[in-house]
Amino acid sequence: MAEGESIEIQPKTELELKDKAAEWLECAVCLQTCIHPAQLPCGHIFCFLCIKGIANQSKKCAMCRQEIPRDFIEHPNLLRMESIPETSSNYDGTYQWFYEGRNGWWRYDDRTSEDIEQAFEMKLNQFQILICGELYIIDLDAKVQYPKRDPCRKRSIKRDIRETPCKGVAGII
Amino acid sequence: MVNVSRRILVETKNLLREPPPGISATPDEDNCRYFHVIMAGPAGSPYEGGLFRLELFLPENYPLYPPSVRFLTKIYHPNIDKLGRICLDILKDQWSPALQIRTVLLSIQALLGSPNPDDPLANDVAKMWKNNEIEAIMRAKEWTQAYATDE
Repeated sequence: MAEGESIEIQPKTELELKDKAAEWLECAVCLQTCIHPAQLPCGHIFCFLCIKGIANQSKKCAMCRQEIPRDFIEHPNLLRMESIPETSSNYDGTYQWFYEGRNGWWRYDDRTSEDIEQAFEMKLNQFQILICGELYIIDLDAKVQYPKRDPCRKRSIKRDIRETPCKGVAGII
Repeated sequence: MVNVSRRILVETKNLLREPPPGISATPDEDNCRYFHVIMAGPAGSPYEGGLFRLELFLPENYPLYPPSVRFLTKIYHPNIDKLGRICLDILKDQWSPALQIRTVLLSIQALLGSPNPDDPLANDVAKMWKNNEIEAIMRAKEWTQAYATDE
């Protein structure tokens, strides 16, 4: 019986180890599971959008302060990962949110899209959200987004099904 | 979570669940970016036995920009001025978005344990610290007794 028990325990421990292994994917900037993880030349991994935020500001790796190469945002070293299902919500991702860039529509990253959808369901007129470390106003009535400190930089936004053709996701083609 | 950075929520939860030793940081009821902090003076320092009140504010573009932290309790320390402003590199040019409220507060607590009169903010205090350290430490203890204890 004791032997049977130990066999039972074994796979469970393995599962726990796998969970542990997934922890390295936590981004030290947003403190959440990395979305579109990208690896800097120093080896540290963050969300692509978090690196974009740092690259616009201190231009140094948040962990080791090594300079971020100037062309990193244009040519990021993205890690191919399976998408991680979002927990703690019943958001099914059927509808996504898109923003208009200079050359067409782009899809928001899944987490931002989920936040906008949540605000949409709460029937909020507008709300604030951090994108790339910059505070944006999402105006759901006027269907625009703009940085709070620079309201002139307005971009249209829209809600559409996930499969709608677009240029890419969050600046990544 | 709408209107609040998810990171602030994560940090707040962690601070309340596992407060750093000798430090409590409580978010304001009306403003989740404003924290009421109470810090115990480190053992072996002139501030031992004192409980110091601080305020911590997270700017809109936190964590790309550092939190603002200030002592509300009067303190005699070469790197903290009359207004409670703190001279600490990680609160300025050495800030990194990988630092957190927790690490900032622990660094401030460590600064209480090792004053640095060569990089002063309160010039008179730093001068005293360099010229007559025994007297300076005595004054720091007196101020702790006078302003940072209930008695």
